[in-house]
Amino acid sequence: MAMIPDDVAELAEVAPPVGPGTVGIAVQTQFGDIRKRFFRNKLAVIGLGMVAFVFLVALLAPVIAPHDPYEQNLSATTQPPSGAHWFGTDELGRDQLSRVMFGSRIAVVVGLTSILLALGIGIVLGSIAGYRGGRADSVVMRVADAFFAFPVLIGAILIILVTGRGVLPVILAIAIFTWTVPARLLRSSILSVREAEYVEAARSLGASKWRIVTRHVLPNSLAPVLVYGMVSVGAAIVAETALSFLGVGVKPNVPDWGNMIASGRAFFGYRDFLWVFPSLAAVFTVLGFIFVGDGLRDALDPRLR
Amino acid sequence: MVLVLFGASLILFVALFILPGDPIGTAAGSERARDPAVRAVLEKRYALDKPLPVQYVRYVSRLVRGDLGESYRQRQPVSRVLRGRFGATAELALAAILLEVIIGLAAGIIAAVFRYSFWDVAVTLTTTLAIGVPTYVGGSILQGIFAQKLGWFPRSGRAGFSSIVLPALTLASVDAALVARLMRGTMLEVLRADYVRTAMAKGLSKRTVILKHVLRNSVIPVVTYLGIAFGTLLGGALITEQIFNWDGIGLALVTAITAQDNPIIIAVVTYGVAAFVIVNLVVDIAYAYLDPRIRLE
Amino acid sequence: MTAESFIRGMTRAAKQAAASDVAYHMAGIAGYTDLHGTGQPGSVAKATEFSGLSAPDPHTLKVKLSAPDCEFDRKTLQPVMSPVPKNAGDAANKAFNDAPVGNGPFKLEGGWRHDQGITLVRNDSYFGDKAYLDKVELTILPSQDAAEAEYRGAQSNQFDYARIPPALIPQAKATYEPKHGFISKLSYGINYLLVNVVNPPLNSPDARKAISLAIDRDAIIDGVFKGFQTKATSIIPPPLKAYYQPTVCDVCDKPDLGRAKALAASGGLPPGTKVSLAFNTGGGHEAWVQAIGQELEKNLGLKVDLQPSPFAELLKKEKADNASGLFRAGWSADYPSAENFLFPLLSKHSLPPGDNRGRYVNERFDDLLAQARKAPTEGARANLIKEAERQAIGTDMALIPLWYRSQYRVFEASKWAGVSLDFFENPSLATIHQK
Repeated sequence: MAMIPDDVAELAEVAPPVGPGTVGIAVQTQFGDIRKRFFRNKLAVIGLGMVAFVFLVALLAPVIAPHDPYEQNLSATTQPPSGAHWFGTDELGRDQLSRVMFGSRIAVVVGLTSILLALGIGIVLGSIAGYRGGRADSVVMRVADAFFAFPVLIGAILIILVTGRGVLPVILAIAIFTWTVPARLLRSSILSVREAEYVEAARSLGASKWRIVTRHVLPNSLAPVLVYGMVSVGAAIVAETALSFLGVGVKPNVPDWGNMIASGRAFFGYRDFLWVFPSLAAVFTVLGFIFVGDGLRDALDPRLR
Repeated sequence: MVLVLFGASLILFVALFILPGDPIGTAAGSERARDPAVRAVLEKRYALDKPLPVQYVRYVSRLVRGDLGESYRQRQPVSRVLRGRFGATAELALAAILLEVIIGLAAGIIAAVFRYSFWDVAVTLTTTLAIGVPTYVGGSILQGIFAQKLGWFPRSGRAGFSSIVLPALTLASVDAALVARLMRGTMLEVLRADYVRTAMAKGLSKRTVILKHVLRNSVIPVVTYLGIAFGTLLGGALITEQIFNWDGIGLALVTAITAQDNPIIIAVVTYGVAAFVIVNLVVDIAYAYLDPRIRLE
Repeated sequence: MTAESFIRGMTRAAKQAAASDVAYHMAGIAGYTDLHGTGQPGSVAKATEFSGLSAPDPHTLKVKLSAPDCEFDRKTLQPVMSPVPKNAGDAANKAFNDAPVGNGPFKLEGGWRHDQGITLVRNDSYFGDKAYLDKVELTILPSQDAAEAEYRGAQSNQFDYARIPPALIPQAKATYEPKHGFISKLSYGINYLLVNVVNPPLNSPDARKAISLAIDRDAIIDGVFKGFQTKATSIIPPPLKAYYQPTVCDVCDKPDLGRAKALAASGGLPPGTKVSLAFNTGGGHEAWVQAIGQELEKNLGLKVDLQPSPFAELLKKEKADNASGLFRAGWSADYPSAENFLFPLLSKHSLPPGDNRGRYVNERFDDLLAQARKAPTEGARANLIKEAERQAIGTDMALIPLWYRSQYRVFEASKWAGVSLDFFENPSLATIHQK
């Protein structure tokens, strides 16, 4: 049915070239090359720095946050940024800086876990479809089509309305509607790789199907999927904040960028610091992931440079 | 394809059936007491006392005849409630696609042709920002600055040409950025291809080469992407329509979800899926036309 | 238009097939249950006429009540008792429902443009003082963020009159009050916490009083609402001057942590008890609900479980057999009547499917209300009602009052005068005129 939209799809056709036989060594050299190319790309390195920074903040939040993000102070609500509160206080008097810091934990956890889950499901189903072919392929692809055609946001909302709000439902909801793209990517990838010479060689040497898949087919087809994964973490974070914004994300008192932007939006033009800081945090994080994703894609396919 | 449609609608129906909440409450009205007499009448009217499979079959048999049922909240036929709104969403979708095509293609082409120049960098940065900033943030900002503070455009509602500008821009930004990047990437790859180098070696001017060969071949994946984007847009842009109060089906959907007005939810989502599927079918066909290699299949 | 028109209108709405959720206002008229059904499952209403209504001549409407009700005249404020013309048909007649004809100072021009708007023009054949305005354009906005859309619209001069989203009330007052375009009014309503009084952990008056004493209403009103609410120390609000008792709830005024802890202990609410606090999303309640949650946790050591849900689901939760804990609630009077605050919310006759979702039952309370209905003088009635409130709120704390209902609006004062709010919290269109 529909073709894969992403420019990442190009990569499905250009799995790194590998000579027959010496698979192991060839893969190792590739990684060295890829790493070198990646680090030569300034934007990618900056992106990596940004992502690392966010991870660090997420990890160290309980230690470095100046205040308890849940602690209310009703006598000092919606205070503009000051020496005591660098990002100001929200409508319950909670310190925004601490809340933004803790918000990074939700973003990172939800972003990573949902995409990992989506990749997991996608890889399993995609390899079944790509490698087994035939009936299994059609079934998986039809199911993928149905989920693909279903609008992500609406699907997520419905799932959350059924299961209730919280971190886990959000992760699940996002994963359920994003696994189709990695599945399709992997399937294309596998389709092009499985006819390659070295796979033929392995098969004629008597290697079992399992070994072929895990040792030869998968490592060479995973590249585009991983790039997609990296770029999508940003999208997953945005989706999570969008769900909170619509009021179906994590619970309202949890420090979460989407929650903060949603409640801050009511004060637009009056106390803008309430939504500006979490928005900046979200944009900063997403940009970091985009730069890294772009860098990865360029490093994996030198011809594009 | 019909299978996809049925599959999606079945998922939807089941999900709504399991949903906690009280659609009868919605039908009967506001916070007030619900008379059992009233409940009984409404339950009968909407067949909500029958088991799920019966309800589904009833729905589909009516759907085939063109009867979408009656909205719980408004007690009006769904088709009447949504009639004008399909047009509104389509308007927005068309405007957005137009912007995406024009801005996206232009930016991508410029970035590819003037590689490594200031323009290339500018395009890359702008597109990255457009993708990185979430729609509701971008939309709120556009609305706040250009409508609220400067007053150049109306803040919300659907009235005349100027009111479509901000929502269309908001909607188009992410896709336009992706289109620009896609176009740039594909063009760069094609520019390196053998047949292009041959053409240039033969003495054809760069401009002819670009216009005749490069563009035509680069645009294919972009068309595919635009197809998907358009199909999605037709399904209604929830966030944008909400921010700008645009009377489309997306907004109707948001209201329906809060009020648990199931007939509306089902109608809009099913329509969205159908539109998406149909548009992609059209794109696949166009794809075959544009890329002669595919026709052989 | 004659008395017959009123009978037509009332019968039309009361019929069982109409499934009208506002017909209950007429429940006190004789013959209602014959027309509407008793509310018991399986009850079928056979009558087609409203036996309690009659029109001996075109200018007289006779209403027979099934029981004495001194406030029936106020109930006629409700639109459900409006007259309708002969061509109205029955309740399901969509043509009429989309373009209703009434007897007020304005009439509809064009039909009801669903989800878009309504246009009103002056009714020159109105029997009372004619309105000044020629035309009124009402824009229907989606209920999500409606207040915000209205207010922003007013700021950009798209609307002449608008509500204000709670977060921006301070800004609205600062901007519009100097221009005399800011309306502030205490209306006939109350915001409170509904408590399920039959299931633990809040099934004892002491437990409920402990909760009330642990809530610092002043701090929440100042911090979250920036002072734009009025603390409630009773259920019956100040506008009902003859019935208002500011001291009826002695645990609503200021927090008292020592006493609260003692009451919690004796009421079976030890620290660590799990209490749920459910509220409806989309109403802007997120902030103050969290404030209360944290106060209860800090002051009484309770474990508060905040439960946001869509409105319909909240109602379902309240009515469930195993419902427990606190629920955000608000009540707006149907007509200017003190009884309308007590009877629908706390009487045993109002148990679900009625609005007494906390399931409070007290025979003495119901007796007092019944006597009040029959009381021969306003003074006697007021005493009985006050005593009833003292029983339900003062002694039993069946509901936890939070703050009264304040309404704020902005309007374009440079162009318009005579703008105020009527009982239904709508703009007084009939008195608005150009400056």
